[in-house]
Amino acid sequence: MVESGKMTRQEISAFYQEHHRRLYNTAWRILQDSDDAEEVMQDTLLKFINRKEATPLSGPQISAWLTRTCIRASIDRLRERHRRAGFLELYALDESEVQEEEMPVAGLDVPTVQRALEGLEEPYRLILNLVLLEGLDYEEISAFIGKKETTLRSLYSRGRAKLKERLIHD
Amino acid sequence: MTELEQYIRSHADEFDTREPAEGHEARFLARLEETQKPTRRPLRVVWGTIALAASLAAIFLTTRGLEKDPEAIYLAYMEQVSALYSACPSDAGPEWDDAIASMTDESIPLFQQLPEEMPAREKARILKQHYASLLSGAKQLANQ
Repeated sequence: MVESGKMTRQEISAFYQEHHRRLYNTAWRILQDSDDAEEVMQDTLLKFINRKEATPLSGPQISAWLTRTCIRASIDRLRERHRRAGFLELYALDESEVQEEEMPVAGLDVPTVQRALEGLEEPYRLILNLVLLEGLDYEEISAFIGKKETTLRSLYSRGRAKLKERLIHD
Repeated sequence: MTELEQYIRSHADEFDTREPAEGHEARFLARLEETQKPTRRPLRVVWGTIALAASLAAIFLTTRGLEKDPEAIYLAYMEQVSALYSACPSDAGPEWDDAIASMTDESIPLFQQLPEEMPAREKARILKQHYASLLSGAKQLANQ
């Protein structure tokens, strides 16, 4: 258990080692930029270390706090980046029927799936990452992104179909 | 859930393959030092700043209709509380921290006490009222 605001330099270093990689990857998957991902990861850890809350948090509570803070900051930065284009608008409005193929996982490996995921267009990549890798539910994602859950579900289904398409045909 | 979704979820940790550029920890420690430098400002200015910050926070929490994420509201509140501590002059003594803590600390945050099945919108309404009320205490302290 760690109480922020009272950490020694050694504790801070251990805390950084424990969490930086996970948070960096979370931010990278959303932002696809190493400088931005490092800044968001460090902002998140600094925010935790410098907070003044007296209530100690358990390990899982700290992880959850860090992950959600990191995701929120990454999405805010992404939104800022795309302010003029309209965040997710183009893809969310596409309601045409999704043709989904069967996808056996035998023979798949993580690097192959990772490449396919990273090759998807941004809105699909974002929603699949948040649901599958970060384990968020649609209500949480809706609060982060500001879109209706039904829109997000539709976006997710289309993204999943596109991911399968890539894995089968590429 | 399809086989592919199950596969990705069960291997989620293996997707964390990237490392930040070399020197990242040194850059982090430099930023940490920067954020922890003590700030000294004249007491008169600090009181004014606190009164303004508390007013703005209360207004933010009571009138901003767009924010419906309970956790975001709690985090916004915590940021305002942190700002109050940061505004404390270094020669103000422990009474200052105690006063802020007694007004704003919760042994179990209300954010974690509300039932999960309660709709986010309702949670947001309750949290905004509750935290606006706690923050208004800081404003009253500033006016003593």
